[in-house]
Amino acid sequence: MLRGVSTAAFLESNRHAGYDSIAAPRAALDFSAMLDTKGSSKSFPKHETRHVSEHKNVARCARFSPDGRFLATGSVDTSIKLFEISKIKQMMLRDAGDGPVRPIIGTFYDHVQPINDLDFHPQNTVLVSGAKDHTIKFFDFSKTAAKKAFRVIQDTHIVRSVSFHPSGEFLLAGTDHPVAHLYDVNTFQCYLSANIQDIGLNGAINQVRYSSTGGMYVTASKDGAIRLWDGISANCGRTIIGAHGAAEATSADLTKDEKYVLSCGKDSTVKLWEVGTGRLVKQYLGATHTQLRCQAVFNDTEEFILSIDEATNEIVVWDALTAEKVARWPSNHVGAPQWLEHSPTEAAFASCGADRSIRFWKEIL
Amino acid sequence: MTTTDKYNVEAAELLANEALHLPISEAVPVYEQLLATFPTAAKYWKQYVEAHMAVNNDDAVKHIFSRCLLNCLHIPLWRCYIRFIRKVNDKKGIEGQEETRKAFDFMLNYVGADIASGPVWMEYTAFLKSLPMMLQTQNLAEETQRMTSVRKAYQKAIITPTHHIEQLWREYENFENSVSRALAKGLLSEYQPKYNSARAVYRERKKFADEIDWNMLAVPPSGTSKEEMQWIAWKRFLAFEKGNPQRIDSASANKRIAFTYEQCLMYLYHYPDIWYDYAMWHAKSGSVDSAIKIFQRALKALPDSEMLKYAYAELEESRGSIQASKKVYESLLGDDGNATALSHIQFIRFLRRTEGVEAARKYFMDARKSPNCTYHVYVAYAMMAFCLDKDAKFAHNVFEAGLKRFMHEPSYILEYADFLSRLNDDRNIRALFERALSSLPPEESVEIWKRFTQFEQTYGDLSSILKVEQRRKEALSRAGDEGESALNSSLQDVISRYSFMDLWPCSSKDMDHLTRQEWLSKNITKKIEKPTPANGVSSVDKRSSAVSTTSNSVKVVYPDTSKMVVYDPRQKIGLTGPLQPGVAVALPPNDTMGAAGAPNVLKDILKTLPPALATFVANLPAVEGPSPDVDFVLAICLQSNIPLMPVRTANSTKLQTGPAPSTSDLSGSSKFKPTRDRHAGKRKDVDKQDDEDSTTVQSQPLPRDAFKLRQLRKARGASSQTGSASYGSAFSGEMSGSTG
Repeated sequence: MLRGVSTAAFLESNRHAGYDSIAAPRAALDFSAMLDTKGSSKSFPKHETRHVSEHKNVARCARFSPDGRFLATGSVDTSIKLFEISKIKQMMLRDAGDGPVRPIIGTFYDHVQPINDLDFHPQNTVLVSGAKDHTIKFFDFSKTAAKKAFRVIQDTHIVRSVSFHPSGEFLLAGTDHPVAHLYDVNTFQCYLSANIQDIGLNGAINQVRYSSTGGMYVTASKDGAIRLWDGISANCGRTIIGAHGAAEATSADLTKDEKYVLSCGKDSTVKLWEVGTGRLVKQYLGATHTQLRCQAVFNDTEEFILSIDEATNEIVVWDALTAEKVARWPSNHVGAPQWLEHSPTEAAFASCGADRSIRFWKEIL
Repeated sequence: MTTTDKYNVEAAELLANEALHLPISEAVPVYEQLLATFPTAAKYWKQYVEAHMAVNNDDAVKHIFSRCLLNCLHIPLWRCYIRFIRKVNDKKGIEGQEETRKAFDFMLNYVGADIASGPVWMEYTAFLKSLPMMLQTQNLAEETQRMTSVRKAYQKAIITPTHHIEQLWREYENFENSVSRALAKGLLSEYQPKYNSARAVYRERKKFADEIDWNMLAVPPSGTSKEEMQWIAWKRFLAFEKGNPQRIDSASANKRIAFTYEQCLMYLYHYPDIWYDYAMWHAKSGSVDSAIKIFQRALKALPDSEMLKYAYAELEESRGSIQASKKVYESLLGDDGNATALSHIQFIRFLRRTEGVEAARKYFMDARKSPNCTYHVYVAYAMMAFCLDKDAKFAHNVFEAGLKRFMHEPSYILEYADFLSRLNDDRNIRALFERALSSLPPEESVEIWKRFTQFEQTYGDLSSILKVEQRRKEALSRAGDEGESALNSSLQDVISRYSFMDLWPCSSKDMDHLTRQEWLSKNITKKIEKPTPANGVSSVDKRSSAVSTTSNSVKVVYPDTSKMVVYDPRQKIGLTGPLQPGVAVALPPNDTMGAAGAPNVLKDILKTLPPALATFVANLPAVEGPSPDVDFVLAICLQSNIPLMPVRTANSTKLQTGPAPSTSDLSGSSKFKPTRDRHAGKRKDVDKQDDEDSTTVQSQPLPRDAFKLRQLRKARGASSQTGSASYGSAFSGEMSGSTG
């Protein structure tokens, strides 16, 4: 296809308010150099947390923009809220008094069923959402007044997860269908992998995530398998069957260097896999998660891993290298949080949950 | 103590907390130390002065207030001041009240424009109202005077955009009504519009003020994002005030702007740009004297800022105060020992401008002896003599004198050569190059060689050109590690000899080839250490591009869709086989939109539909496999229900048919594209509610909730005209190709 030309057609009109240049990612951790070292764990800095906003029903997902300036949350109440991080920080800063700060810069009501996942366009001010109503919707958040989507993809299945290609020209959708749907964002043409091995009945995809270069993507599915797919041909390069036993794999993401996959499952484990060999490199144990779509995420430097303990309603943090638990903090939610998302650019994360609330956490400076 | 330690905010806060618990005598040195570091930290001043007030140390309190008030336009601090004044004058009868009133006037004159000054205005009016009652004087003249002063205060307060503006307005209304109902009407209606505009401005102003952290301590910029945000917030606030949003007279507006600048400088005390902007703003708005004062304060705040000194000297010089300007220059020179070359140069230039050739020459002679006198000073002075005084011979002498001292400076040689070439003195230029090249080591003479070859290309004949180039290669090959390959004459040399300005004897493509070949040939001999970069950039380039932060620099891998299967739910409606030979798209049997779920939903919906449409829907063919979302189809059908529309303008008739079929495209493809333009264009004239409803109709499945359904139908009936008008713009948006 004619790349570049077609890019111009899509979303080019939104350029006026695109992101600032995305901050250089902090140095990511090199696991390969240190994997087998048994050093002492780093300590995870203390965080302060604040209730930021509330949905009208369970908050199901949250996502930071690639430049770390925005946070979007989606809820069962079918709404999406968009926050500006700087305003959230201001709000935390001036809790002492003064006038109230409203960190919400947009609310989108356009779905008719719960929102399952969100993603930001890598360059433009566009937010996409995947929902139970079988649609993927595109919102332009440079226009504060617009509450409705400006484009809609009608999928054939419940959309459980969405992930933008780093160019912003393609979008992956993980649905109840066992193969990820690849959409060309300019034409809305949908593509599937041409070579699919037999995937069992329970292959619905819980999460799909592109790698940093788009060279591959990873899916976590209900059958407990983690699958790695080639970014060019969309062929399945590696299947880790039963990555989480018979339990559902609920989240999967690639490290920035594309060498490792971090996955989380309903078997109460968080695991780190080597992409090249498919071998299990680390296990992060000690957090129970058997009910919710639990997320295990890296912090911005990939030095730490964060997840949720449903039983004790705590946020658990491990040192990524030593797999040692370095922090357990009460989540401050009523009931365990449903989702955890870390900022890609700074020591801050967001949690949201069944108590409908969104909490923002940031390192105490 | 280093600067970072000195301005450690946390340590300062700790110290201030400690001081709270110390007896006053011990706390004083702590406060003095804190305030020496943070002279604009109003909160510390307040804490300091309150400590004194607690022990009724009135003289000390007065002294502290005199030190801080004018630099810290901070409402809590000033309110503390008023409390003190009122307390001191409490028992002094009329005189005391007069003092207090003066203090109020003084205060409001300084900080009355603050967004948080509302309570002060209230306190002031309350104070004014209370005056005569204490005096027990009820004679008429004084009563009138009292009324007038209260009225004046209110009238000032209600045109100041503060947090309490609405409250103040109500108080003012009550006040006027209590004085005289008849008079009140006229006065209130006169002031209502002014108040309204102030209130509108307040709402805007609050947004800007909310961005600002009023607790921040003034520390030198260190580049943290919080500092940057605050800087931006202040810049925005200043820009807002400069726009004079309230359209008040320019004197009041200027006062407000100056006030904002002053406040800004409390927090951005160490930011030279703010000081400069403030001073230049004063200068621009006509009061150069104020600008001068700002510069003087700026230099007290940032005594090491050369930029500010030059800016200040420039302003003084341009308004003709040469002596003042000279003093600034002299301060730049400092003690003889540490004057920089640049300050020498600028001072010589200044002297030349203001006192003439002789003064400049005299100073140059002195400056020569300074240990910090670099070749720059010689070059600057010689060029001044040559260009301004037109004294080529003298300039030549200066250069020649400098050469003895700066023979080892390639840049000096180049400047000298430049000068000589202006004189067209090719003999001396050649001699200069030869002299320099014989004394300079090869690694420092690269530039000289380059200039020498350029010179020969301009002045020499072909043989001299070739000769110099050969010599250059020999000399440089000894220095660099380029090896013998550089010695051989290459095509690049020909290109460099035969290009002129931006004209080249080859295409850029040729150049690329040559560069790449050169790079390759360099690497022929080297061991291959790592794979060759695909695009031929050197490893240095590659690294730097990886560091640059835009996502484009990271190599992005694109999907190759030609290797994939097109997945099109529409084609699967009459599913007879795989889409493409040999490829079966696996579909999970637990598809929720399968045959089991649909009929029930369908029945529910059929009940709510108009009979005609219900029949139509009921007759739709049964669908197998992945099917379109029924809700979605229904939404489209509902919306294209043309006969229901009661009013039909020519416009809407024409356009109705346009978008309806397009939305029936179930894959939700490009037909949805133009919606952005539509949003932008029509918002002005179409009521927002209608707008959203029409969007709902167009792109949303029908809600199952009966209430919503009814609403929807109502909206369709009532607002069909606006609805179709919006389609119109959508349509035109599509036609124009949403170039946006």
